Amino acid sequence: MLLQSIKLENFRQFRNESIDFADGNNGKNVTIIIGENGTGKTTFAQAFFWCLYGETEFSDKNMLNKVVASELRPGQEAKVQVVLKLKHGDVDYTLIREQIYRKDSSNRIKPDNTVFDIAKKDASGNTSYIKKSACESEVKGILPKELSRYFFFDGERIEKMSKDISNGKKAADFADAVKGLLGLNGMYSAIQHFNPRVRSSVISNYESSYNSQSNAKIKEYTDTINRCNAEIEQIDARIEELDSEIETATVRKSDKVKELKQYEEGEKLQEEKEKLQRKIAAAEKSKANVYKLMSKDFNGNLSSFFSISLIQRALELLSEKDFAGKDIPYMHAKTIEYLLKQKVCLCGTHLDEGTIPYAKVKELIDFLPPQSISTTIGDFKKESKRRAVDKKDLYGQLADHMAVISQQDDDLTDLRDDLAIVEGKLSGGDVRDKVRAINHEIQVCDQTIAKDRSERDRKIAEKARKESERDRADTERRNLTLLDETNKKIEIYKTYAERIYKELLVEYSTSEEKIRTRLQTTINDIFKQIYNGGLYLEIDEKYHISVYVTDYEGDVETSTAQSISVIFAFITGIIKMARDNRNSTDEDTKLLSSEPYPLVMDAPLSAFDKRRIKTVCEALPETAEQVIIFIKDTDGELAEDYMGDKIGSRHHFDKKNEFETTLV
Amino acid sequence: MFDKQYRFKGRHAVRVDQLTSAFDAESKAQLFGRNIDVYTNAPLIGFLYGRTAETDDTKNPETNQVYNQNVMGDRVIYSQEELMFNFRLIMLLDKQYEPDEDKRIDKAFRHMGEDPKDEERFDSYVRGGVDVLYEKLIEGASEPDDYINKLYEFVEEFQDRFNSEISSDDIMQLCIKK
Repeated sequence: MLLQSIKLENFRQFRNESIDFADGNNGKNVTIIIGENGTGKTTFAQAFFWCLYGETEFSDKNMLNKVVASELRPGQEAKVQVVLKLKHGDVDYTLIREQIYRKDSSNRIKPDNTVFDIAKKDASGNTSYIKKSACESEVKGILPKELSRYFFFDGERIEKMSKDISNGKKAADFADAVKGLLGLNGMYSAIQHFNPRVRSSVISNYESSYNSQSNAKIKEYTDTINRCNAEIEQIDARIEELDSEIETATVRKSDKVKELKQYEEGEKLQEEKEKLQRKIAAAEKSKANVYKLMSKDFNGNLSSFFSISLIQRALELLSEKDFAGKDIPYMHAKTIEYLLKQKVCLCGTHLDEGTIPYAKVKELIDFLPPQSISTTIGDFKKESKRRAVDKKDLYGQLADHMAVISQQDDDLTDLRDDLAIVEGKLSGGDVRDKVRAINHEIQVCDQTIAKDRSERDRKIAEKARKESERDRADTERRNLTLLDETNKKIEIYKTYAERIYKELLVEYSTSEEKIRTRLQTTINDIFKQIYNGGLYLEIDEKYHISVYVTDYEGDVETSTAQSISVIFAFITGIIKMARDNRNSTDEDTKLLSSEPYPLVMDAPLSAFDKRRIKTVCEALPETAEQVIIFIKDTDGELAEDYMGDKIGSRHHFDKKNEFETTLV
Repeated sequence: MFDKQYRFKGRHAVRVDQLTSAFDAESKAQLFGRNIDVYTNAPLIGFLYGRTAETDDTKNPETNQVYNQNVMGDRVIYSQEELMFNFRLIMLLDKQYEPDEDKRIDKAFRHMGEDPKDEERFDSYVRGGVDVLYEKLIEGASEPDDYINKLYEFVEEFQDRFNSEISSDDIMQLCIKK
């Protein structure tokens, strides 16, 4: 299959655009389509999918151009169409997929089902149309959807595929792809045509055509053979189940063993955690002690601390006054009271109430004890002095404590950080519980493996018994059938068929192995070309891929660019082999050829550095028959530099707005 | 004067309770050891911060009684001298209450406690001081660290604002001055 052109009408942001692809004429097989992110490269690539299979990977399944959609009036309709022209074998195909969108009275756009048409023009120039009902299967003949992802792929998909391929997840898919693309499918169909296990196969047909009229025993043996075959089939199915269970359990066990290894360190961590917890508790306690000291210091200094400024102000006030001179030494208020009562002063002056002498003497009471002010002020000063002497630097004391607390806080923060790290490693819980749980799981895996293995052994023995029972019946039946002419003929035919089946099986497995080995070599060649580090690949019989670094031992963790190289080499390898087979002069090899296929790649270079882009660009046109690349501006320039003479068609996306992109 | 029990009431009772409760379960550390400690020091703080407060009659919704915190009579008598000293300080320096200097001196010494309004003035500083202490030391704190930090900040602020220029020597000098 080689792509010739694609035409898009109202498909997403493409109103009416078409591209002719370089198809190898004049040695030019590269089509390059350049556009910045968001201009519609991916949309354009998805148009292939939509045309071929009626599907896209968009979450918005509405394909109709948004401008067209908004211009529609209720009741009006618009058409989305993609026309893909391609050559498959000697036939030119025109694939047309259309979808009508209608606006209803409430302004909602509703799509009809897509309509798919295929026109084909054969080598002699006769054009015919494929019946609608046969269109999907015609596409399947050109490129089955399962295989399409090997040819239409974008950067993200490459990444996912390379992950799948390196962890063996999609090994079976790859195996199918390889077999399908490298021409083993025909032989596989032939094998199925003979396969005695397939009900409608040649051998099965002979089995059921024996004439049992001649001898009742023949029917009995046939029944036995059929029963045994059915049982063997069941046993095989069960063995397959058991194998997969064993494999799953083995993988799980090895995961758990790895996990357990991490936790061995965990026991140490657990001890460290407990040690840290003890340290934190001790640090918290000593911090609490400082609290206690602070509160004690504060309480012990309250009265001085809060009163000292007032004391100073009070003393300053009092110092401006002179109370000392007013006091009368060695006299008491009682003395004055006595004189006033006697109404005569010591000097003999009469002290009659209301007279001036009476008032003068009475005033003296204020300057005598107990109200003599200098005495109380004296007491007041004494207390002031005491507080001044007691006055400690409370602020300084507290500041010292705070410094200690701050250090303790730092220590605590450090300890808590350490604890958090340790706990993170322990993922919270007690590691010993985890270890127990993991050990338990490993035990369960072991039990499953042991149980399944012993059942598998039993099944294999049972299968052998069934096979010998069947073979005995078969021999007996053969002896009997040879007695009857009709049956004898069937027996001979069947023997031929069995022989052909056996030959085919041998041939298939040799071919398959050869292809696998060659694929490995081809991939390694390409891989080396684009990844000139000391790396190589190995493909086992189940199509598991292992990447090795030649400088070191063992499987390496592949980096993104590396794993993309892997898948890249894988795909180009398959395509290259298909191409080599077709061009081979060896007729046998030619039998294993398949169609050429294009590589349609969306942003394949983004993951690579500049040097790698060069090698990829040089390798691509050499390996694939047709290359169509959607690419970013910056990568595009590089690609043009490196693939210049191979580029037969070059396009550039011009984004007019969010809803419209044209090609220039 | 200062010879019988003293009662904090309403919100002041609640706040005195908070000021004398342990803020750290581990060390049982308290900001103020006893109610009497609040009673003796709050008036100084109230006066210095210029805060007075009326008596409050917030009730405990559970008992429907006005909140109440007692300072026992013997405690008061035991701290009588300290209380009297503090009373004198305030009477001497409260220019707002009594602008005349000589009259203030009389209120502090000669006629100390004779005018019931003086004691009422003192009590209003007690309550104002409790409010200041609550705001500075309790409000917004929940963890022991918060209480300790607030205490330190308050002492630091108080030191800066009132005590930074004060020295014991100056006071001694003033004391020996005739």
